[in-house]
Amino acid sequence: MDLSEDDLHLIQRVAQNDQQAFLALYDRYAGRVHALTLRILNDPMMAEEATQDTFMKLWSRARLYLVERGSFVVWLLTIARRTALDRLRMEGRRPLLSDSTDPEGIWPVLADSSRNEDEARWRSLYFMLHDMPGEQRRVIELAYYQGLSQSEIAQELGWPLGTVKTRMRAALEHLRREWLKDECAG
Amino acid sequence: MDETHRIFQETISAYALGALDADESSALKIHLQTCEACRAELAGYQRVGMGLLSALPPQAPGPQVRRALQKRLKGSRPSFQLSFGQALLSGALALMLVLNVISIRQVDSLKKQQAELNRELYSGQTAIAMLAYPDTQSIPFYQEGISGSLLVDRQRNLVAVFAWHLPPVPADKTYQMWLIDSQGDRTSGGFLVPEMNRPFETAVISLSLPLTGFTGFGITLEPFGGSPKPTGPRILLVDL
Repeated sequence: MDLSEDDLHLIQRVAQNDQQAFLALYDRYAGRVHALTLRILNDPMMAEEATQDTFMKLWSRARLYLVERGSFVVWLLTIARRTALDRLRMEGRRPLLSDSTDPEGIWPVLADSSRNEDEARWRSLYFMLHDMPGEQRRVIELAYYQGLSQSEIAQELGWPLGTVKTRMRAALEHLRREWLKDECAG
Repeated sequence: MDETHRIFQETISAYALGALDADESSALKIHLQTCEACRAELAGYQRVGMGLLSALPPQAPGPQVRRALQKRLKGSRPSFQLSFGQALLSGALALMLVLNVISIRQVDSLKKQQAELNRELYSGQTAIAMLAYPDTQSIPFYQEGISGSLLVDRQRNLVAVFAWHLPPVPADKTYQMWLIDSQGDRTSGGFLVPEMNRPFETAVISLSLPLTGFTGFGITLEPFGGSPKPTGPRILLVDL
């Protein structure tokens, strides 16, 4: 089965208010969305609410999805991340997102990751992150899963801002080099 | 390597994660517009960012989430949004519909005006013809400020009414004409509709019954649409 084509067919049906197609997408991606919202919110009840909100946004915005601008799952997970981080902000726990994480803003430069959609690729990135030195992994997680800026991370961890910048740059450079190397080799 | 470019390059990875502070982010955005190398580098980091979205092992939510979603779907349909083309087409169709309704109403109104003019023309021509006919009987009247004449043609069972200075009629009322027989029974002769800016009104009653059976003519004020028998105040009563 060509998953991206199947997703496209389902999302087109959702755009026409097809509830069965919507539930099919939910059954397919709820685990991913919920894993992300739970990672960000670290609260099972809030994570489930954010998961619901994400899928309700999918229901109401399905017609806005443009296949030529990126894969469906990336679009959906970007909505989930945004929804969860906004929830953090509403709770007064975290500051506003930088607009560079807006799905509309990043799409044009994204490759279609549906070509690399196999679980192994994503799992390898997950393990790369976990195998990193703790101080590097920490800055990545605070930035991406908590929506903190570098200066906020410095404040949160009590580190000099320059140290945060250096560690974040080193961590991301490592991930980019190693992960994309796998992609080129694969 | 240009020093400014190097400084911006060092911030690209943080920008890709949305971790740059606002001022640095704004400055880098401007630089990115003119630096192809930095845009290419950003794309690589953004792929890592998108990978981080998917990297977490799936974790299914409880079944209540699915049930709650189904309930929310039943309770609220997505807002029906039209594309620009659809909205334009819908707008055009709606406009055409409105214009059609307006046109139909205008045609109906014109038809009514035409019918009224025809009726007036017929009444006027008939009344003039009756005046010229030697056997037509003319019965003048003057009652309570209303004056005029009845022209009676008993051979053709025609009565022409010329009434001057009829009071304006309320919107929910109408003047109704009656012919009265020797028993006092009333037969409707139709309606008189006073025109604005005209001091007189003309109407012709053409009867299927012999006019000889009637001894009087009257006008009453009736509810709009008329009555089978007189119910309102009498405006005029003339012996034939």
